[in-house]
Amino acid sequence: MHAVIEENLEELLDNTNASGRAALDHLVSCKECAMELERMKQIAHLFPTLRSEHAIEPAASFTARVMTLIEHRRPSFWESIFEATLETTLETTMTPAFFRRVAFASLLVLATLGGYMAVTDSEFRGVTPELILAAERNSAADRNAPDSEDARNQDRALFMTELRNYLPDATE
Amino acid sequence: MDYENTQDGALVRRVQAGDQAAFSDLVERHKSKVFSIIHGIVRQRNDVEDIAQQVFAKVYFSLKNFDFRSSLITWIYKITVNECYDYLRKRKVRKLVYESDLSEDEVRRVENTEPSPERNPLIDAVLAKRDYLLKLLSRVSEEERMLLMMKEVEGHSVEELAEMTGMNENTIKVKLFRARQKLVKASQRLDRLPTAAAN
Repeated sequence: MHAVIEENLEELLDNTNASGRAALDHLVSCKECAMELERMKQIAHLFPTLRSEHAIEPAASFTARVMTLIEHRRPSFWESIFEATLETTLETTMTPAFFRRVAFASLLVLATLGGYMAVTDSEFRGVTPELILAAERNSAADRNAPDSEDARNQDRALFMTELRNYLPDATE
Repeated sequence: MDYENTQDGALVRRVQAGDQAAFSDLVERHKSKVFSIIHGIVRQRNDVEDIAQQVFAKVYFSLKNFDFRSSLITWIYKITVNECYDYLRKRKVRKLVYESDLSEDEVRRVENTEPSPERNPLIDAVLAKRDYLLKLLSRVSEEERMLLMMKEVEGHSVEELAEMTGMNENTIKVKLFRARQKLVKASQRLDRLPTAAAN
């Protein structure tokens, strides 16, 4: 929508003469503005459906009922003390100076952690990737080594014992 | 505009100082307007009083933060419209939960029997327009919704809105323009306007 229509939109929607010649002339030449204005008029015509045609008179006791509701919802003495304390604490702490202190403390923690990591890193100095790979290869070789004769006999005895438990004559 | 030196302003100051009777006076002064806004939006006569009670309870508990930057009625208007939208949202959820317990046939039967066999097509058309508009208004901000309604439903001029809200006229015009553009976009998304709406 062009500026000349935007500036006079409310007058155009109200169909008042205050919109001015320039806006009306523009609408004749600009189809886009004319269409958007038409759409806005259509929507504006829907608003009267939200008017209450029949006045609903509140009951005489309405105000009293509101006051009772408020009384029920009023926070207890301790709740109000807590609320007031919380409010004061937030008001006094949530200042720019507080956030500056938090930022400074965070930087200090980061610097300390960085320093600690730099110091502890020296423990691993001299351990090269080749050494780690060699150590892993050795442990894998140990795992794949053939079992001893004793270990094989032990496994066989265990298997036979378990098998016996399942044989029918063993259970009878 | 000095909202503090008005009758409402004096009552607000007394409420802020803990005077309960002053709040009763505020309720008395604005209850009819609040009832009328609520009835215009929700149309459920039985629920109007409940919603109005919630509105005034909210007004009471947030009155301590009221800073006189706008008139009290503008502020109450905004709270009332928001409360109505809350109610409509809850009613929609309740309806969905209720319908989820029924079979498809039962839902169809309920929909066909409500509201009554002798439905008035003219009233149905008005209700369809109203529901459509409420859907569109749910796509704009609370402030835009309030400004649009005060202009189009209450019939206030831009100058009056400026006076009531404490903003200048140009700001009101720009805000209304943006709000109307959003409504147009929302209507395009919600398919076409109901045929009756164009009439």
